[in-house]
Amino acid sequence: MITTVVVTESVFATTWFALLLSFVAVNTLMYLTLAISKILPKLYLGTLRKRRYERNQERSIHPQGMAPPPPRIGRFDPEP
Amino acid sequence: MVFAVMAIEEPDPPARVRATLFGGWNVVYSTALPPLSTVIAAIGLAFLLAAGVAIVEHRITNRLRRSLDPERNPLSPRPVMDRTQGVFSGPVTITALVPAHNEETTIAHTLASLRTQHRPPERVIVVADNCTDRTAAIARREGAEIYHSVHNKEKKGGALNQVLAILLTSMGPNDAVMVIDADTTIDPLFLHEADQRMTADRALMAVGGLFAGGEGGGLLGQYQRNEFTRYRREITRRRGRPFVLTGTATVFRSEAMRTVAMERGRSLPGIRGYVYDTSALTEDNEITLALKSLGATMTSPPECTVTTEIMPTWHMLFKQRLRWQRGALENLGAYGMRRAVLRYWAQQLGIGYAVLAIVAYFAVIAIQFFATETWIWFPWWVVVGGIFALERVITAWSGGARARWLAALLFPELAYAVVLHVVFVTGVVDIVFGRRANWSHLDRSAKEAALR
Repeated sequence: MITTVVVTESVFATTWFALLLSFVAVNTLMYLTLAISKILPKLYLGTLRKRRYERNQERSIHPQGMAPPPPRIGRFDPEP
Repeated sequence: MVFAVMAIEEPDPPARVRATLFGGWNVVYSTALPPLSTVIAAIGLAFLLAAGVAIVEHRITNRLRRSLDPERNPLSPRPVMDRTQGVFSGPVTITALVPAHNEETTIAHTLASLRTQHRPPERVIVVADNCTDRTAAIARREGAEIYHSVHNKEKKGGALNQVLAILLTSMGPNDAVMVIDADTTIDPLFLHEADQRMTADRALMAVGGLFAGGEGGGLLGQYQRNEFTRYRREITRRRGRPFVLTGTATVFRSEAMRTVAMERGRSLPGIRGYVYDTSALTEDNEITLALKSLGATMTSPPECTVTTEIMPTWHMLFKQRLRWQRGALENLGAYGMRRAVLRYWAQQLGIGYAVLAIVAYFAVIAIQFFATETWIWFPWWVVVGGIFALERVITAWSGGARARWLAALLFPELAYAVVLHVVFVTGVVDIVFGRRANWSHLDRSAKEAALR
């Protein structure tokens, strides 16, 4: 036996369809907001302040006051 | 166009207008708008969710970054700097490890890419894992050292663990290890950038690559390239803060790897002494979570681009993504709800929600299609669709003309998103029913046949 489901325009008047529609509309608008936020440049609040951030201690591998040595040539180098 | 169906929310049925466009196209349209309250609520909710995730992530990152506790966060900048204060342990050195399982067709390219670096690595070691082809011979000819894995049954992670157990014992605080896949090439400035950054910041524990897809593969290849282009853009906008230190190419400070190995079986999942957790399907995602849990700082700068192979068939792509998806979920299961990984839980919930949203969306489209005799256009929602297309194009812009065209069409990429959502659902179902996962190494001959 073959059964067919007929969807008529009366479906638009049902509560479940209204709920489904609202769910989809809210989602679409939410994703739209996220899409617009991805188009616009990202804003970092820190950059709006004039204050300059400086590290309170030197983080380089060279202890403070020590001059860095010349760069080393690697073993896996095209030049012999 | 299809966003049109979502606007029938007015108490009275909206007025339908018949019109003829472009001289002969008869259309029926409605000027109905969604209620203002719905628009405001949706926009507010989106901001709340996005800002909530960003604020939580920011707070957690700062807390870990500023941690003074060497027991709980041994890789946080302060404990690391305290340990190395006033001591010069030599310049940064880089040892490249190339794990390879039957990679004779690509290994030479990878090694050439390392050799031609602006700042080449000090050592290159190819980790030949159960190879039955000429991988080792080619690597030797190209000037690399060879390490053969011994009785390894635990794939890439197992092979790397073996060589790292030997290598890490002789490494100092400024010696770094690069792990690079044998089917991958890197930007000529990658190692220079990694060296510079690790020299300038002795607390920086890892520099990861930003991957791009290789050429070819037709439409499927373009889908993947667009995806990677958007990921690169996203990470650059996040000022280099990566979600994953890619397994394709990442430089780790040796101390990071040693500490991870020490912490396994204690604060981290896995077996003590192993750098990589061999039970993880996605070992690169797992080690990222491990490092973040220990407070490590890491970066993926735009200079460190990695070009890796794209999956040439839908079947291979599906298998690869299923592994990624299952791996990500299983890793989260292993780490639980700890602070460092909350962002990743939010991400998975986001994908789950997107699946629901897309199913509901297609359901509404189908009902609209079958319940009405004539298609009704809603101009307001057409504009919304236009903005989505604009976002797709802008975010894929740097991928070139093809990337932009594909993005502008909107619907092909929507179909691709559906495939990725099916992968997500399959991954969740497989985990729930305890189905066994396969690592699914890319079979070279099958891949080449597909590319032909």
